[in-house]
Amino acid sequence: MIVGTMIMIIAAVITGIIFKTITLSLDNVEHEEVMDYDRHYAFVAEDSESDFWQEVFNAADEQAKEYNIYLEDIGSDLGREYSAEDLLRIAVNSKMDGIVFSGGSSDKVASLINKAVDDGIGVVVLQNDVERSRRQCFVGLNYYELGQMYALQIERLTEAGGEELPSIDILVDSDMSEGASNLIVMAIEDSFREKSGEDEEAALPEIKVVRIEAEDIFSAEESIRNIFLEKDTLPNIMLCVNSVYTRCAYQAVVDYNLVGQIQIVGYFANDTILDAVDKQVIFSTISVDTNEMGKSCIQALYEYNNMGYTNSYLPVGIEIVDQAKAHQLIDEKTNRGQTK
Amino acid sequence: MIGAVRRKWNNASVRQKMLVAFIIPVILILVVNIYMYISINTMTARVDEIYVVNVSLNNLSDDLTLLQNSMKEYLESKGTSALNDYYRAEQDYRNGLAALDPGRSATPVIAMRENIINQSENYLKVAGETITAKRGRNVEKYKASYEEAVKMYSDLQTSIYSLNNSLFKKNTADYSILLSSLRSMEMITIMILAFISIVNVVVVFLITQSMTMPLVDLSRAANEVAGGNFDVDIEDTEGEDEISVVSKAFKQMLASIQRYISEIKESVLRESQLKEHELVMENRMKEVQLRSLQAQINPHFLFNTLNAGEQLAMMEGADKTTEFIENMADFFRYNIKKIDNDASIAEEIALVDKYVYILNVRFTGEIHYSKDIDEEVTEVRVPSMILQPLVENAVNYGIRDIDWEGHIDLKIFKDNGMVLLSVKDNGIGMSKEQIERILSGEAVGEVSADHAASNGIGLGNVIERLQIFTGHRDVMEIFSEGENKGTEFVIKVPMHV
Repeated sequence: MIVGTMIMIIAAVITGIIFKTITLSLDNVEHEEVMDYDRHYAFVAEDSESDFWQEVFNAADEQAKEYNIYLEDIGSDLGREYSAEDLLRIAVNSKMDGIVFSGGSSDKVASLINKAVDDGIGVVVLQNDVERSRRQCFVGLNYYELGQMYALQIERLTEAGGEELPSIDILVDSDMSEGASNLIVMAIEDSFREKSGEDEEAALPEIKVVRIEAEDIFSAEESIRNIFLEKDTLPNIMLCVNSVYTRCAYQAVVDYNLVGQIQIVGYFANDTILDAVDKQVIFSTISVDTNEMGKSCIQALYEYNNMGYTNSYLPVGIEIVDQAKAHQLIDEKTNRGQTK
Repeated sequence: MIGAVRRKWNNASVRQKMLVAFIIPVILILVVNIYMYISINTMTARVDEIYVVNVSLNNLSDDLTLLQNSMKEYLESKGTSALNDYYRAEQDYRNGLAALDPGRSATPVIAMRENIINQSENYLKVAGETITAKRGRNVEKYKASYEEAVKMYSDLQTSIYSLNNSLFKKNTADYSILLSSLRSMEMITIMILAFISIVNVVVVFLITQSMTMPLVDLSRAANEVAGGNFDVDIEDTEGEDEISVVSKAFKQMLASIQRYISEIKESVLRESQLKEHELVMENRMKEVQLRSLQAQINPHFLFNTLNAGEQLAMMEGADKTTEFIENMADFFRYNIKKIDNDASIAEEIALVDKYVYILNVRFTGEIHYSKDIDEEVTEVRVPSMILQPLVENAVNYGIRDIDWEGHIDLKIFKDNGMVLLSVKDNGIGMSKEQIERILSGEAVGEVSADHAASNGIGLGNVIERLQIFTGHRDVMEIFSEGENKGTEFVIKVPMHV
C-alpha cells in the first residue's frame, strides 16, 4: 500500500518535472540570441543577395560583432524589392549610426548621402565611389591596379595567340564612373607601351568599354547576349568587371559555342567561376578580397563614430586566379567541406 | 520510518483508514490536475499572447494610414475637421508607437522596431512641416514636403508590414511549437492521469482488502461456528482497529466456548462414571436381594413351621424345645426382615447370639462363645447380616473339624473414630494366600459354593456390601498366625456414616 502511494507521488513529481522541462524548453525556443548592440549600422547594396555581396556582408558583420555593432542588411527583411537608392533613404530616415552603401552614384544618391552626413550618420561607399557626395570613406579597388592585372592576362593570352593585337571589350556597369573605367583602359595601354619600350606610337590593342545598362535585374544578361549576337564586332578578349557579368559572359560563350575563340577574364571567384576557370572556359579571374572589403568598411565607420574622422579611401586587395590557382582553391574548398 | 508508518496505520481506526485510503488518492489526483491545469493554462495564455503584437502592428499601420489620409485631406481642403483628425491621428499613432513592444525578440526584430520609430519621427516631422507650410500657404514647400512624406509613408508602411510579417513568421513558428507542446502535454496529462488512476485503484483495492480481509475471515469463522464447528482458525490481525478488536474478541469468545465445552464434557464424563458406579452397586444389591429371595423360600416355610413347632412344644411343656424353636424362628425372621436394610450393631449381635445358641443345640455345646462389647457403639448402623456370616464362617471353616475345644470370641470396640467388630476363632487358621484371595474377592465363589451349609451370604458379599456402605475399600482385615492358630476377622465401620 505504502509502495503504491510512493509510486503515485513519484509519478506526480515526474509529471511536474516533465511539464517544467517543456515550459523551459519553450522559453528557450522563443528567445533567440539577443544582442545588446551599441550601434546600429545599415548595409545597403544593389543586389545584396549575390555571392559577392553576401561575402562582403558576412565579413562586415563579423567585424561589426567584434565592435558590438548590429549590422542590418537593410533590404532583406522588407516586404518588397527596393532599389539601393530607396534603401539608402530608408536607412537615413531610420537614423542609423552608420551606413555602408554600394549601388549607383546618381545625384539623388549623392544628396541622400549628404543628408545622412548632415544628420550625423557616417557613410562608407563600397566598390563604386560616389564622388559628388561628402561620404566619409570609399572602400574599393584601385582600378589602375585592376587594369594592370588585366593587362597581364591579356599579355599571356596574346603570347599564346601570336602577334596579332587582340580586340578587347571591357564590360563595366553603368554606375562605374568614367574615371574608374578610364583608369583601367589607361593601365592596360600603359602596360603595352611599357613592353614596346615607351614607344608613343606603339601599336595598342583595340579596347572598347561596354557599359551594361542595368535598368532592371535581368537587363544585364540581355545586354551581354546582345554583344554576342553581333558577330562582326565580337572581341577576342572580354574583361568583366562584375561577378554577374562574368557569369553571363561565361554562359553566353558556352551557349554560342565560342569557347576558345573569346577569352574571358572574370571578376570575383565563386564556385561557378572557379569551376569555369578550372575548365578554362574562363581564362582567369580577378579575385577581390571581400573579407578585407567588409572589414574595412566597418572599421572606417567605427573610426568615424569614435574619432569623428577616418581615411577617405581604403584600398582592397586583388589577386589573379588562373587555372592552377583555381584548381588549388577548389581542392581546398573540397577538403574543408570534407573535414567539416 | 516505514515501520513507524506501518505501526501507525495498523493502530488507526477503520474510519481513519478509510479516510486515508480515499483522501491520499484524491489529493494526489487533485494536485496533479491542478498543476497540469495551471501549466496548460499558462501555455494557452501564451498562445493567446502570441499574436497580440501583430494586432498592435496592424493597428499602428491603420493609424498611420489615417494620419496620412487626414494630412492629405487637409492639404486638399484646409478644413478644420481634417486638421483635428490629423492631430488626433498623430496622437493615436504616437501612442501606438510608444506601446509597440515586440517582447524579447531577436536582434533583427529589435532593429526593425527601432528603424520604424526613427522613420516615424522623421515622417511626423516632415508631415508637421507640410501642415505648417500649407497653413503658411507656402505652396512649393508643402508640395515638396508632401512628396517626401508620401515616400516616407510608403517606406514606413513597408517597414511596419515587414516587421509584422517577420514577427508573424516567428510567432507562427512559436505557435506551432506551443501547439505541439500543448498536444504532447495533453497526451502526457492523460497518460499520467490514467497511470495514477490505475495505481489509485490498486492502492484503494489493497487498502480496502487489508481492512476487509479480517472481516471476511471473521464472517467465514462465524459461519462455521454457526454451523457447529468450534474448531476454526482465525488469523491473527495486527493493529488496533475496530475490526481487529472484533476479531480478537471473537477469537477469545471462541476459546472460552471451547474451554466451557471441554469442561462440560469432562463433568458429564465424570457424572456418567459416577452413575456407572452407582449402577454397579445397585447391581450388587440386586444380586444380594435375589439370593436372599431365593433363600427366603426356605425361611418363610421354615418360620411358619417353626412357629407351629414352638406352639406345639409350649403346649407339651417342653421349655427347652420352645426356646430352641423360638430362637430359630427369630433367627430366620431377622433374616427375612433385615436383609434389605441396615441394622444396628446390637441387632447384629443379637442375631449372632441366636445363631450360636442354635449351633450349640445342634452340636451339643461344642462352641465356646464369648463376647466383649463396648456398649457405646451398639447403636451404630451397619449393613445387616455382616456379623452372622463371619461367625458362620468361623464355625464352618475354623473350628468344625478340630480336636480341641473350639472358641469364638466376638469383640466390638471403638478405635480412632472407627468401630471395630472382631470375630476370632481358635480353629485351623488360614494361610496368607487364602487371606489375600478372600480380601481380593476371589474366594467368594468358593465360599458360597457351600451354600447348603450356610444361610447363603458369603464373605465376598459381606465385603462388597461393606465397601459400598462405607465407601472405602479397606473394610475388613483378616489375621491368622498360620495353621491351627485360629483366625480373626475384623470389620471396620465408621462411627457415623
